[in-house]
Amino acid sequence: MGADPAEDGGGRVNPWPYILAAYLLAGGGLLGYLLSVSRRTKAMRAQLAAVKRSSKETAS
Amino acid sequence: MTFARRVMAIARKDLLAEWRNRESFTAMFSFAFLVLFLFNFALGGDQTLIRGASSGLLWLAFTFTSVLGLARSVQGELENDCLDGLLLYPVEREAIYLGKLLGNFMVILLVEVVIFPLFAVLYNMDLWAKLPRLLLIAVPGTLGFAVAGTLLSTMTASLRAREAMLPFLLFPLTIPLILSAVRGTEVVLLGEPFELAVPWLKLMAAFDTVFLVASLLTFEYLVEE
Amino acid sequence: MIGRGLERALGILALIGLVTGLYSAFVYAPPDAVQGEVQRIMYLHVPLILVSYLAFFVVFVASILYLARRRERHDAIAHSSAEVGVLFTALAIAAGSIWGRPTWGTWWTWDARLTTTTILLLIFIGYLMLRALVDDPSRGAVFSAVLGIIGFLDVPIIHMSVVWWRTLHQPASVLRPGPSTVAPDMQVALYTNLAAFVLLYGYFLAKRLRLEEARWELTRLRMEGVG
Repeated sequence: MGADPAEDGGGRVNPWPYILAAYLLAGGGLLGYLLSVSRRTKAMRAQLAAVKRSSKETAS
Repeated sequence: MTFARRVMAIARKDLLAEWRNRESFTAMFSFAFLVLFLFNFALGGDQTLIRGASSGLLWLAFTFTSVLGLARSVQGELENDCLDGLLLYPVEREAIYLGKLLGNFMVILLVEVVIFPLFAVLYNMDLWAKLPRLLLIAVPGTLGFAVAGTLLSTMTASLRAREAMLPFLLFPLTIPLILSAVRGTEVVLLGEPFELAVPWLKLMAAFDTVFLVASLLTFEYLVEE
Repeated sequence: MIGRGLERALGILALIGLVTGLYSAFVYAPPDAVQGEVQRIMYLHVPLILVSYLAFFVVFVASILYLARRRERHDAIAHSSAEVGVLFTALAIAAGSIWGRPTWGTWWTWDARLTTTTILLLIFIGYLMLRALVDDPSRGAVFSAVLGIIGFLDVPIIHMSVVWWRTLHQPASVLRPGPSTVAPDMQVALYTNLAAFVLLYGYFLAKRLRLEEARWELTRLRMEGVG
């Protein structure tokens, strides 16, 4: 394969943007997922509360 | 009636229904032929390129055609409530699965048997002498596809997006089959020594075995109620 | 299912683990002799992949248990673990791709591990889609369980086939991109990050399980004709 940037001991290409990109992407993805789960759980709980409330109303 | 005869009876029912109007077979055959015909334009009319890629092109055509056949087979059952009727009988679920599997397998194999020579004619390849070995590769590949496909088509039959879901679930799972079938076919088409195809045959056999056992064990859960 | 206390503990431990992991990845471990600094991405990529395999194994076991015992809890664990697994797999592939660009000059290579991981991702995205499309919850649970089982069983076959396909297709001189973790301090960094991500998986699983708990409760209430 042609000119391999890593061949000269990682000299030519600056690795840090890539490292940063990888870690930031991972961090963002993980945090984003946590937020998504929190949001969905909150919505589900609200639905549950609504259902329970309406059942109490019809019962009484 | 023994278990085997029940399986045969179910397979026979499917195949007879298919034979009566040959709708599925015609649709599948036409589709496979069209795909192979289109390859000429997709690959810029380059006959050498097409002959070089022939094993891949053939199996691409076969896999898409198989999905068509599998989907139609289950759809027919659903439309006429055949499956529900069948489930009312005291038949083991495994027999239903095997019967359907056999039916699907034979139809797809038949399409392949017809397509091979047609492909040879379209792209000027000499396949007749190689046909037995091509089928030797095609049988375990097609069987595996039918094994996974019968199970998954039962799963996706009742879904809203069933046309898209069946291939989307089936293709990633059957990549080992597609890979092996293409390589094995390539060995035969290039006239290489057949031992080179043996590891791929073994892989397909492993896939078929694992999936057949898993399907037999889990099919009853898919049709329970 | 998983108490709030345990969930919080997992979260805190995971956070500590991740901070320690970051330190070991960037300060403690030396740059790689051949790849240079870029190799540090491996402290992210490898744990993510390994933990995603763990997650899918959990889906496999939970699916079998569900088919056998039909307890909601097992279905909840399967669904949650699949979702977390898909997340970790996708991030692992992205990290691997970003690593590949400065190392190999390409964003993608068809090497065996990356290919197999992508197929795994596709299978379990299909799993999540199947779940989303089946309306009846118990039927969806059964279908997903079957898919979870055969999906996971397929993984070794897929791996074998892709490896054979690569080695019999390319000359053996093609190097396998991967961590060159020979140096002991690099191994320490790898294991630290691995432990951290396992804890993170546990925390995510616990949080995700709460959502499933709530959903099952809603289903139960609806089926009882309430609301």
